[in-house]
Amino acid sequence: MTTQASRDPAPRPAPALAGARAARWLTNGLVYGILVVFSLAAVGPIAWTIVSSFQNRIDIISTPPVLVFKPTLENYRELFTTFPDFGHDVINTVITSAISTSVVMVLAVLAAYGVTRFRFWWRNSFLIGILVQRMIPEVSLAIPFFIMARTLGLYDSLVVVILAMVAVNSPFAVWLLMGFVEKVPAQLEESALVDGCNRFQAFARVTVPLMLPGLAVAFIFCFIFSWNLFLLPLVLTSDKAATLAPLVTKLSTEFGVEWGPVTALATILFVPLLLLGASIQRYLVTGLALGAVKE
Amino acid sequence: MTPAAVDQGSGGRFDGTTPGPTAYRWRVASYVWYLLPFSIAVLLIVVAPLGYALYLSLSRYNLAEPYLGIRFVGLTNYLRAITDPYVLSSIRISFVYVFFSLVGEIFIGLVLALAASRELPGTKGFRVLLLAPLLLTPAAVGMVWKFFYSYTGLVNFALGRLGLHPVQWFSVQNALTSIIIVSIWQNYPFSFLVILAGLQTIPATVVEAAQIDGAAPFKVFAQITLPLIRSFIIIILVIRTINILRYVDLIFTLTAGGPGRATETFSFLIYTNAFTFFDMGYGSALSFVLVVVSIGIMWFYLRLMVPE
Repeated sequence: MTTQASRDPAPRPAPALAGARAARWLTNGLVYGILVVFSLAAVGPIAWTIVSSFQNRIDIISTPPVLVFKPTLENYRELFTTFPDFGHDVINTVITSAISTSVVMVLAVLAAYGVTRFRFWWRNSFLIGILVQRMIPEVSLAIPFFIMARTLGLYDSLVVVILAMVAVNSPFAVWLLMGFVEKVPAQLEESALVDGCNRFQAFARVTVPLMLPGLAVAFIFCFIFSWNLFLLPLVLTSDKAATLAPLVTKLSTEFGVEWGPVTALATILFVPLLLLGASIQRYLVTGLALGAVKE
Repeated sequence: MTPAAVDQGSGGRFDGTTPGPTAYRWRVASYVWYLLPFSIAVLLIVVAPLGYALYLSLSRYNLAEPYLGIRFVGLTNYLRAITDPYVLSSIRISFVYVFFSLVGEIFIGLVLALAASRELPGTKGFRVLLLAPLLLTPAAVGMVWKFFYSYTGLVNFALGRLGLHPVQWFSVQNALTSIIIVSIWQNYPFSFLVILAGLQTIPATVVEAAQIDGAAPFKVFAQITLPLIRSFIIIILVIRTINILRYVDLIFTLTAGGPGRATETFSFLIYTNAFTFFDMGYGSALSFVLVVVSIGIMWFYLRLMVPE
């Protein structure tokens, strides 16, 4: 849908035509110019991070920046020497993100369905509760989580990281999925009920399959948020259950920060995110905007 | 949608507010089963920890002095916050950070959304590129920009090419500006997306009618477009204000609150007290102040959204 008539190719009354055409050329040029400049500003730093991660320790700090160089994997190798369990940390990140996201999805799809399709006396309180949960600062959860984890012997365990991720991501998932439940016509469930399903079967066999694109979007968003979670894993893990994001703080030495490994670690963190983002680009806009705009 | 229509003959009560047949009265209303797993989880991993934190906030508990244990001290921690000079300075820093980030993000988001909403041929592809920064790990973004900001780094090189002097990006005067620039760089796509969604709700005919009436483009924007996307901009204000107040990731890796305490925002002050000084009681008290302030901000903005 366009909001402007400028694209309209239909000929307009003659006198204003030449001026209008010139103005349209000008605005179109401006539009392309803005989009190109900002796209470069958005992608440039990311691209340069990835390029830098393949430079050796001289090239990476050279001014002016070296554009032609012999690519090296030494920065990635250095990650493995700095963090002996680096492979383990990668696996931890994937496992905790995947498990926490799966748990969130099960909890959230049920809750989103319940709160969208039923009217009950504490419905508004429930919705407000979700909003408030979304506003709780990570650092507020970090304090009790840290003490409780130490008391319960869960410090530096995958379980506590997963629980923290569920605590942070579950309200967003409910909020996002509510919109997708609404899109499934209630009449379809009605026909399933007529055909002899009970309510839960109608939900599981009719509504959930019809929500699959929505579930995929919510899954990828929660996965990205878990992947990016920094403060809670930083506070709750030391090495056994370490995840990738907090590692970026551990690349400083007494001689300064090791930029090579930093860019390598950032590349390892960024590339999967960019691939996931590209895989749902069709839904990225609706998903993100919907998550925000839904009232 | 009238969900009550679906309830006929289903056995369970579809609509919890309408009284069902007496035979079902003793049953747990079926909606409960859908909400139960989520509610129990939230009770265990959010409400219970926060309850514990509330208790801590009323206690003297410092992990650096474990032999003193936990002692109930009433409102001492909250009273201490009022007289703590760092609290005041962190509030000021948070305010500056939120204000300038929001101005930058919304301005850039608006310009880009207006450009993208024209849907000129070939511009769809730009959207994906424009969104990319939003997906990235904030902590790593901070670290990478610290690299770009270094004295012989990329940013100063670019300034040099423009004939400008290199800047000490992490000096006391400049550090907060450096953080705000990165924050805008990473988060303008959110404003862009939401405003774009808002622009797409405006019927093309409304704008066309104004143009045919001879309204100048700026007038169309100020008097038609802007009022119609007002609620979308308020949503951006709510979500971004609260998120900027909540997160410490960017600051943690860019400046760690420094130099000195020049970029110590309120949430970073909580982190410092709890995990650098290990004063869990005081940290918890400050974090409750932040929760209450966030709820207040949301309430204030939502009042703006619903004109009396």
